[in-house]
Amino acid sequence: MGEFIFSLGYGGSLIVLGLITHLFIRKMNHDVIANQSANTDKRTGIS
Amino acid sequence: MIYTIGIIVSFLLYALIGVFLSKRVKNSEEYYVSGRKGSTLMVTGTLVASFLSTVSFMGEAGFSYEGYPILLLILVIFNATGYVIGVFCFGRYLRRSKSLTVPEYFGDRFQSNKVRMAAAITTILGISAYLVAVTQGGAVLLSEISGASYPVALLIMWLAYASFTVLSGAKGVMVNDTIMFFLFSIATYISFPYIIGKAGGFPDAIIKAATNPDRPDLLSWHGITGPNAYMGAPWEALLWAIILGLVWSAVIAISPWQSSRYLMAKNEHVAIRSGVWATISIITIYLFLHISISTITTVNPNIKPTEKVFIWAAMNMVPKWLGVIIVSGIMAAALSSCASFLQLIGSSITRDIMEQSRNKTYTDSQLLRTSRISMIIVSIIILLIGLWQPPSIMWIGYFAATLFAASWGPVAFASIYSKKITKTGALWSIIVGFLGVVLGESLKKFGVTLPVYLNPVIIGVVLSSLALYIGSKFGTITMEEKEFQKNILQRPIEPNEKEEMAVSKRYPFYLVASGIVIIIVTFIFYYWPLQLAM
Repeated sequence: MGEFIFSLGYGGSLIVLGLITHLFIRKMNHDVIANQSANTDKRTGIS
Repeated sequence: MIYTIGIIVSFLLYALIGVFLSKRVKNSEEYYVSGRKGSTLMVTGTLVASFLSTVSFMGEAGFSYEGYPILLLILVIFNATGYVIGVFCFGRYLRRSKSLTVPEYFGDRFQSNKVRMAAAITTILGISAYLVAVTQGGAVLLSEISGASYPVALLIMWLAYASFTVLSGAKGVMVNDTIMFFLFSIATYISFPYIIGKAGGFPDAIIKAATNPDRPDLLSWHGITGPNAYMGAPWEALLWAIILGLVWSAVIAISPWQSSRYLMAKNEHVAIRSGVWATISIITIYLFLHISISTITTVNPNIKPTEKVFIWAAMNMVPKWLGVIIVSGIMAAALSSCASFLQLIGSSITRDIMEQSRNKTYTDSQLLRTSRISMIIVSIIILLIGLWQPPSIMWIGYFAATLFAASWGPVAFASIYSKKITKTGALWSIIVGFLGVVLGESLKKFGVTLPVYLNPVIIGVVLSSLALYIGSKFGTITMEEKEFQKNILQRPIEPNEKEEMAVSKRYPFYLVASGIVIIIVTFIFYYWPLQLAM
């Protein structure tokens, strides 16, 4: 049983890290869009 | 003889590259952080090469050969997470700080010369110990392969890495590290089918390893059982692997020889991508290496010392041309780590100690000259210690690496995420963490057996965290500290942000795809033959 879990878990750790990376990058992208939106609002005088 | 020639040719190549690149090093930023122009490939290469050394290809190979290949891979699962977690939770903020050294980052973050000095001194002491250990390990290996005496081999090792490091600094280290990364990666992947073939072919080689009566349960998740087993009960072995894996994950995330690589990245996106590729590389290299090593147990079960297993395989199980590549690859792993360590020590001595203690700012040309001179002096001291101390004291290297997890770990992460940490807390956290690990290791040296959950690093982390919390009750947080933290929490937007983000968005997919491939490879080359053996 342990060997089966290991066989899944060794490569599975990369899958988990991929999901974590996706979350971080999505947040990074969201921050950029939020910034750009705030700048556009500032330029057009929207409070 | 052919192996010696191969090694010497590779050494000459690295030295020539150092000479060539030294002409392109015009200022301190080029010398310390390669002008902050590192590509994803280069930063990945130097991350992996600075991490893998004789500890990986000899020490850990020996541990695997003795009976614990899968247990080691379990450790690696946790260990490798340090790249992704590290770059997102610390490395990218370090990159944003645009510091030239990691102690400089700590000094600027807490607006404190004392914190900078404490970080610099722990860098110099810790990395020097690790440098001595890896230099000696490489020299022992070179001496065995070439037949040269240990002092001569030590001198050759020293010349090989000191030359290009002193001449071209971070630039030369990064280029040579990347070449070395390719060399030992190729050695590991190409040797796999040859070693399996010589051990009985697929899947017989793995079935034989799994049913070897001299090493019962070799390929079980907990490793061998029987009279030669020394890792304790399965749950103890698993706890050890998880704890050590997490410790090494922290080492990868915040230690100076890893996190400082991000300072060389072209931008934050490159830093993140490099962390991802480094993770995939480490997971893949270790899988192929340790499955190979497990099958060598049935070809020659009596290799002594066991750390020579991969070298023995290079000289006895694969064609000569591949043997030369493997042996040169192992030397490259040692050399790349030594080069990174020397570069960091020299940088810290000049920028963090000399410049700060004299309260003087050097001009760029003075900085370059002083850095080179201090690096030469440090490398000579390392050479003399290497000659004087008995070789193969690998525990020193191991202790030196993990002490950063304790000494720097709490303050590194807190410096990003906490608004309550003061310079007093940071200073005492670094000092107490360092002393905590020294205390733990001293207890072990005096014969006190510590349970696995009281590993010296754990003692250090607990004491370091306490010191950080209590110390931060004292002192005030200045406007400059708040401003610095606010600035590094602000993500810089690249001129071509849209294009960069489009590339970075593919990286989660690369991790997931690699994970699926690794699962398939593990089932084919490990689980399925194991089931046949049963």
